[in-house]
Amino acid sequence: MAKIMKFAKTAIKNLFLPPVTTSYPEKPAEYGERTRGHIEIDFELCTLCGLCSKMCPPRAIEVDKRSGNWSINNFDCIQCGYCAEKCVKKCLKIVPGYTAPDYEKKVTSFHKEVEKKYPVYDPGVCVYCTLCDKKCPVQAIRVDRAAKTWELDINKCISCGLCERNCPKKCIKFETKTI
Amino acid sequence: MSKQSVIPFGPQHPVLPEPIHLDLVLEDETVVEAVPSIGFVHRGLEELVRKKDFNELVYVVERTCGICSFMHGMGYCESMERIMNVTVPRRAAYLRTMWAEMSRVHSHLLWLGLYADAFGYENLFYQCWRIREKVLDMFEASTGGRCIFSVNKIGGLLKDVPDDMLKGFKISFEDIRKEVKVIADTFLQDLTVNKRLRGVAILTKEQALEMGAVGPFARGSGVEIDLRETGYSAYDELEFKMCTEKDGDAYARTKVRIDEIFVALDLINQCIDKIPAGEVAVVVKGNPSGEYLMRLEQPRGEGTYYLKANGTRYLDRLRLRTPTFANIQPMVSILKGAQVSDVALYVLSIDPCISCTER
Repeated sequence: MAKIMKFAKTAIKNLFLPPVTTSYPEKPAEYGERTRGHIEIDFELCTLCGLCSKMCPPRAIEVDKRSGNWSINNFDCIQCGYCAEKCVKKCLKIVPGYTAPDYEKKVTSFHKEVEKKYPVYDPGVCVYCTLCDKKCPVQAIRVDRAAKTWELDINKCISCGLCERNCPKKCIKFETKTI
Repeated sequence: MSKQSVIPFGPQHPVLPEPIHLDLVLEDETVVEAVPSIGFVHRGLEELVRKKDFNELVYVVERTCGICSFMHGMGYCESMERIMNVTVPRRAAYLRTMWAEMSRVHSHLLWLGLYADAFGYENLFYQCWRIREKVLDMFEASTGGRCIFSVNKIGGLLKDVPDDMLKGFKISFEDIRKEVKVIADTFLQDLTVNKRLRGVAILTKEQALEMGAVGPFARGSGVEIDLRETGYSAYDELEFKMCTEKDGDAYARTKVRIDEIFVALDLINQCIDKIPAGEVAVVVKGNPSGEYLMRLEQPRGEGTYYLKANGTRYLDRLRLRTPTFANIQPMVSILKGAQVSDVALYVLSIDPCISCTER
């Protein structure tokens, strides 16, 4: 009989004990300080180098240096912490607390204005040879020799510097403009 | 001879926690043959070597399995460290050993719970999982994850564990030892459990050797095979006894696993006592070149990792052989002669992890 009822003591004891589980969500979940919940970024420090994006195993992070965007797809992120380990500026860290569930796969984005340099031509020196127009890889410069016009499409320009390098009269200079 | 019929069993079955499909050839209610088919959760994990570099692969490999995740990451990192001739600091080796043994404790408790559920003892199932929860909490406190730990990296560990936390673990594991003792007595001495497990699903030592059974499944049949004796990580400096049983039945397997929990708790204690101070990682530079085959003892048995690197960031080949893959054939052989209502009990006695097997 003692053998049969071996477990009865534990079972009866458990009848009078409070539940082992916590009554979530009335009692919020407590996370340890090391719990890998989600990624946080100190965007002020970020230089948009893009290393986190290249290192991310599921490619959840996207960085666009030109437009100044940093975004993370929270649903693709596997909370491995590899980006935080590799971040040179230490602006990424993995913190406790999981991201809330949702119906849609939302992306968390950050944007900062980036200083960008654009070509500016000197009308006094330019001979409208159209070489910058021909060399531009994204057709951002339009030059009309007959009308003597030089136009730049700021949205297309990728600031590669090919126009400046190829200009025979050295009349193109790069100046900083804020978008 | 009575008429034979074939019934499908799985991949989705109320008792089976894993997606394996068996075609059971029956005579009346007795199984005369079982034909397994796997592939329901194949993820093409080994193919990912083409897309992820060797550092990122740590996070891929440890997602092979949710139960022995730590061991997979550890196996991959240790084999890569051997290719790159990197010696990890002893503190990292000790911490890896400690976490590996914690994985063994929680994996065996999980299995004990599932097995208790399979033979109809639900209260015992709750108790096993309640104890397991404490181990998972310790994992979360030390690594930051409950199932996927992400602490291994090539060259050591990403996180150190403070000595205060280790001392706290030692006290917690003493409590766990007492609690496991209670459920162990129930498993091993309870009359109904004994009647259900003794003399069923017998695998003889000859069969185990012939068909290459591994882990507690083989050790329950008297095969003395435990890769921890090869002395990887810090096992060469720790003392432990291999647990074997001779009967080869479901009871013997249960006993081996329960004994292994106590051995694992002893090993964790030894790790905490002997752990040296110092760094937990070394800087690793360059790309790997060469090949290595690593074997280690996972909770379910022998896990094999074969890596072939070509001097670039991307490996040529990654091959994982998980213990259940080796255990499927002996499992099919023990099913012959089983009653159809007992099939789940027979299948679960090997502690199958099909998701692991299919990678």
